Amino acid sequence: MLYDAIVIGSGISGGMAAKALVDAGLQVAMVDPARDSKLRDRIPDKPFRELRRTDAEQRSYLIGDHLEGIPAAGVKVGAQLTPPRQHISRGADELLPSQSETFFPLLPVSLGGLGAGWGAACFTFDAAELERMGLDGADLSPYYQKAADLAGISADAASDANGHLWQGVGRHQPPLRIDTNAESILARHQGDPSRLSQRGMTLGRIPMAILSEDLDGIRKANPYFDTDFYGSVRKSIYRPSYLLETLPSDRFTLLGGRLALRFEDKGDEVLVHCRNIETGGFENHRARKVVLCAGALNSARLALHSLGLNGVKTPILCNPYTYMPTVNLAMLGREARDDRHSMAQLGGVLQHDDGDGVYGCYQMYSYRSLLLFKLMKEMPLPPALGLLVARTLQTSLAIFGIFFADQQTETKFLEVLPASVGGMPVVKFDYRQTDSEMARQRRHEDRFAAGLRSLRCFPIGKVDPGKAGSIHYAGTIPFENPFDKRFHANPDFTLAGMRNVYLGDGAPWNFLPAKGLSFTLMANALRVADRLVAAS
Amino acid sequence: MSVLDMLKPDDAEIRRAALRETDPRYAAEFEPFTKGPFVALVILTAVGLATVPLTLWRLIAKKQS
Repeated sequence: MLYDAIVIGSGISGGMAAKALVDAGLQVAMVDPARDSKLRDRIPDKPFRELRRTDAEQRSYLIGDHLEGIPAAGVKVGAQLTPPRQHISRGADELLPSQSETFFPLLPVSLGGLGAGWGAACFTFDAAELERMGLDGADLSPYYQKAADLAGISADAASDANGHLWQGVGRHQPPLRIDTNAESILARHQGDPSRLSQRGMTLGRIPMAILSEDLDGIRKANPYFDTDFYGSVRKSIYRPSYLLETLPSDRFTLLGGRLALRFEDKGDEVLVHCRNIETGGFENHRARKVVLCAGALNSARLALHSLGLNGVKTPILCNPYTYMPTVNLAMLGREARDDRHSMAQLGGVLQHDDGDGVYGCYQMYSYRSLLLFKLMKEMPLPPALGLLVARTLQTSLAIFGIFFADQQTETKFLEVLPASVGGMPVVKFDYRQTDSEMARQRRHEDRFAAGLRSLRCFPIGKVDPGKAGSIHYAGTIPFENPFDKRFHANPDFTLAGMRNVYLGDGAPWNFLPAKGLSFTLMANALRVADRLVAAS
Repeated sequence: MSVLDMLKPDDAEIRRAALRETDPRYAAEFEPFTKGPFVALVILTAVGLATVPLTLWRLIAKKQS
């Protein structure tokens, strides 16, 4: 069969691209390694605290049947994924082979890609950031609203954090309720906003792709059960698979269990060479156009291999990420309400120390439905005392994770090696921040910590989950490639050298702002799909 | 690595704690202490003070084993 378009990848970008293409009347197929389209949620639809007290089966979803939720080593990339979410990257080492000594990304092989486990925070990029990325902000703006309508966003139109984080999206659901811990921090900030503003920081509720009201007959408002880390609670948090489930079967075909290996642009059609993961056999699928949404790292792998550019280096962008557990003095020893959602409660930005734009973007989580043994593991105390401290601190723990902007340097790159596994070329990553980048990050972390202390949130550590720890990857097929001029994206989002292959994910971006990229990936994928339709 | 890092619970101890924490019969042992900030500070101070002899004891025990 000759499809109008094949979308490679089912993640945040692929889901939106497929939706837009199908809505435009095209026959669309999606190639994805995921073999199972359904998440098998096992957590009952009840509040977390009630389950903890009553459910004899809780071990299966809290730490897994094989106890895979008990970490054997220190904090690392993907540590935030609970056992029900660990299927996202299970088997990725074999399907998506890679080598590195410096960069260990989370590579997804599940339906929905990394979107199956994302944190749901949604931000818009401003005009200056988009220009630096190589994107036309005026052109992108209406797609932010369209993405918000499809994903279902709850936002506070009056939040102090909106100035840098949420612009131009007027239609959304009411804000989610925040938890007791966040309420006390926000009240402290609102009592004297200058504590943070003089340090170049903002703080407020942030837009989330979590429903505060029922969206349709399928997705429901979050029930504040605090079980969001362990299941798809009433589908209240947007996952790309929910969008795919709504696509009509007469116009959309999911070619699951297929690993795209490379593609050939024949001029009037594109051949996508795949491996069937079940049978091990190779097969081809044909389309007039292809939209590459495999995630920036894998999109570059496929594109380099397809163009025969093995050994050619290309940049990697990835937000450096640090998190700081803090003790919120206002909550020390105090009761906290049970009803809450589990995801980020508050957020804000940290401006450059010269005041020129946003350098960091942070989110605040409470440590409530994560288990205490994980805290005990990190404490230099015997277990009994560690448990005592964990129980004492639990309601007052506020975890602040901060992402920093990233830019191209010659020390961050990937290349495709001559070796392959099952037809999939091995990719080598190397990602090292320069000395000046690390010094700048440390300087801003210190200012950030001072801001937290002014809120009476006292950092008790600083955790670096590794250089791929943000799970925000982009910029691998940039509009302007400093490594090799042959390998780049065209301004119309096609791949240089293949006019029928569109780049629907973050691979073309020249720069990665500090704010989470997922919402802009959604909007951008909708725009790229529209470009493809217009060119068809 | 600091001396304190050597005192972190080993994997077997953490595994035992994880299994106990996910058994509803022992849920009360993992409930937060919410007796107010004064009690919390007393507990944290006491743990801090107890850490000194415990550190020495565990270090000696580890060396002997």
